Amino acid sequence: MKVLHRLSLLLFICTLGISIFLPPAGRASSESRQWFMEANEAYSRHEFSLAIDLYEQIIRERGFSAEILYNLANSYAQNGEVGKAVLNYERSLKIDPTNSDTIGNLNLVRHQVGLFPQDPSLSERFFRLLSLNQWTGLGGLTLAVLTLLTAVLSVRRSATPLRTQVIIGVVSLLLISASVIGSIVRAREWHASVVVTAGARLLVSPFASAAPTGDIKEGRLVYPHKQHRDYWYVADETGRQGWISNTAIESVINNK
Amino acid sequence: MTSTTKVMQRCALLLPLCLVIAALFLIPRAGQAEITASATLNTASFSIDQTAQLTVTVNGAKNSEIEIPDVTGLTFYRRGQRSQINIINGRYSSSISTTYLIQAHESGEYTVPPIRIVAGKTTLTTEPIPFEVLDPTASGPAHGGTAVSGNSTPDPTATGEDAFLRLLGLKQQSFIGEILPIEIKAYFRRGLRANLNSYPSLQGNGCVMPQLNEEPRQSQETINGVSYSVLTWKTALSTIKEGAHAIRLELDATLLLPQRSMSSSLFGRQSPFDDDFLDSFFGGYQKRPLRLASPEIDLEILPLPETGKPANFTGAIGAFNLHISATPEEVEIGEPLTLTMTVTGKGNFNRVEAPLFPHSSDWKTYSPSATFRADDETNHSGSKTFEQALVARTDRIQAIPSLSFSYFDPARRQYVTLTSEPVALAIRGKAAAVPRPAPASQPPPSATPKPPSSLISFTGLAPLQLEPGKPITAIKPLFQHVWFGAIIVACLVVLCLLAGLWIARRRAKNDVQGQKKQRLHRALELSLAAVTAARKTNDSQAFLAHCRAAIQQQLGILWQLEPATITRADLTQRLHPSSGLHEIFTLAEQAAYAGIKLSDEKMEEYFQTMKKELEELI
Repeated sequence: MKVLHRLSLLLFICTLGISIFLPPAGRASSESRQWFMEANEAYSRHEFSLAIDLYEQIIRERGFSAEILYNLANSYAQNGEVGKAVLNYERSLKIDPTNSDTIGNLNLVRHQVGLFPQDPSLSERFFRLLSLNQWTGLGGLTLAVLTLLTAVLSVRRSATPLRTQVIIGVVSLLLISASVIGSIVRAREWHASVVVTAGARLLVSPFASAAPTGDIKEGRLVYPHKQHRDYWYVADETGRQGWISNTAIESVINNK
Repeated sequence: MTSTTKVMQRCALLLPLCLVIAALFLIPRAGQAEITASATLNTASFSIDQTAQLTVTVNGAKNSEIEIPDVTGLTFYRRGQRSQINIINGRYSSSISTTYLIQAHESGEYTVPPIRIVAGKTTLTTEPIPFEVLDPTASGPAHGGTAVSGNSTPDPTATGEDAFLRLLGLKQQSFIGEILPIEIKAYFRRGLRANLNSYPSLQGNGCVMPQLNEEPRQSQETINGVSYSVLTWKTALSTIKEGAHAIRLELDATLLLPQRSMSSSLFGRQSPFDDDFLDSFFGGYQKRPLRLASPEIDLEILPLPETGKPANFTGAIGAFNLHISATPEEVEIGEPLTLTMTVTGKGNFNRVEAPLFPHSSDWKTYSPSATFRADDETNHSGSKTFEQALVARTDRIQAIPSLSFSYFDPARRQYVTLTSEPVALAIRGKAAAVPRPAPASQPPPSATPKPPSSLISFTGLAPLQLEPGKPITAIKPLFQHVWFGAIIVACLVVLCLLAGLWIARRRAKNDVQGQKKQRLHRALELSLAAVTAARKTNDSQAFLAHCRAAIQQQLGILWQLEPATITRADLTQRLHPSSGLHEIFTLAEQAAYAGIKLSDEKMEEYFQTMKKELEELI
């Protein structure tokens, strides 16, 4: 009985660790690899525009990966296009949320251009410990382990101490609840967009002649709520709200 | 002094007193004049915008009732009353003068008909008075007519003339997006008291008007000889919808009309003050709501023509000029200079954008900033200045290239493109590193726009990734993957099944106890049937034997013992001492060894006791 419990706990911890540190993996085609090398070489020669074009070509022709998006973001950053750089760093983090290079470069770029987000609250800090996929994975894994344990105990039909059952139930419930809440909180941030044009303004109404409520910096994250013709009603990281032209922002998740 | 003398002295004192009293009562009667009445008009003609004063005088009476007749086209307003008492040469006389204002609604010849006056028992009539009412243009200097004053009561039916609203300066054809400056004037006849309940509001589609927040300009105007107080707002309409639209303005106000007379006064129908100013001060104003509406104006909003629309047209409509300058005109490579582009004129400046600097590898450009200075209240006229930072990358540059600005001229109904002359520059020095900006936490104040982030060199970026990784075509969160959803659903299904299994087991466990109860009931029924059968045969031995067997069987099932092994000791040990089964079981054991005869009643009693006890044990 004790051995079974220990094995179950060990299985739980291992799969939890895997879900958190699950790295992306895979191999690209030779042609896209060739473009990738050429783009890297252009970057090293400071031909950032050429590097951008090559990375974009790979994305159009073959798709994207966390590495390609990261390199593309670096190229945009060096080329002075902060909005595009932040956008592609964010996209790369969606695929590989724990990449320290991506996180570091994004923070560096945002810091240097003055994009300082508001200090997160305690709950926000807790839920930002894991990404959306990690919270979802944790919840799914907990459910799977709970199901397995319940099935094993049910099949054996031996009397499991009530205390053990309660502990398993409470821990599972807490983990699943935290996962669900964390997934919901992080899912709201999943559909963020980035301001990609300089000189963008937030407007009072979705019309070009509407009065502006203020400028919004290139590279700022915004969260669209609703759309009216060519304008989106957004809220930025600092809580400011207003209408912005859809040509001034680009969605981080742009599945076509 | 004798009594006669005293009487004579008293008479002498009383006599003057009597004479005085007689004089007070008799002399007025003797000196009072005959009652007469007359009516006079202070002028024989007056203009329609003036009034005339009618005075009705009654002599020889202390009070009287005057019946003013109704005359079509005339309105009589009572002004006041004055009484006078005269004693001249011993003759006493009194007169009452009542004053009326006559206001005419139409020009023409009128006659004040004879006015009936009742003074005491006397009824009098005055002579008719003819007069003429002239048109306002025909009236010269006032012939004694009285101008309408603020204290007199205007005709409430003439509010359309007393106040009106006008929309001026709106042309009948315009283009979509054009700004149309207008003037709004609200006229109130001079002397009228009115309160504005709202600012003028625009009625109709096709245009929008900004909310008027400023106080209007006040002035006086005379129209057709009538003086008006005028409130003027200057604003502009923005056309937003193509097509033909009817436009008008509305304004809500409240007229304050002084009340005519005191209807409930200690002095009856007459004002206690007999003065209009005091009457209005103490008598109050009657509020009459009023909605002014300007005449409807048909406005046609045309679409901008597509033919000839320049590629760099951003929606500016009006008449503009463009001026370009650069400071400094001598810089080194890599040093920023400020390009100032000023657009002046009249039009919709909110659609005026900076001329695009042509893309060139020789220049590093930044986003321009804009400031607008209005020359009028409507922001229709003014100048908009754009400042753009430029950095020359090479010394091949000799001038800032020509810049163009396009707008639509509604007067000429065509697009106009203004092109500036190149601005000569002197660029010196070799290519230098782009200067780093100030730290983002403390940006230095400067007249030129701060270099945006594109100028920042991001040193310290982590190096590139050397492997491209496995490309994917879409970024999907984990919960959108089919396999993840399948795992979750499978887990939930399994949990539901396990829950169902657990519930079924619990039910089955409860059923075991139920089954046990059913067995007990069945066994008890059989035992009692056997006992009843034995009782019917009146066989006490058999009856007691069956009772003992029934008790053993029931207790054997309950206690999970072999029924045959249950003895009296077991009953004593497990059953309550007061249980009736003890007696029956003991008697049954005794009957096995010695014959016992029980009566029917006893058997019945034992039967019921045993049945009750055994049923309670189930």
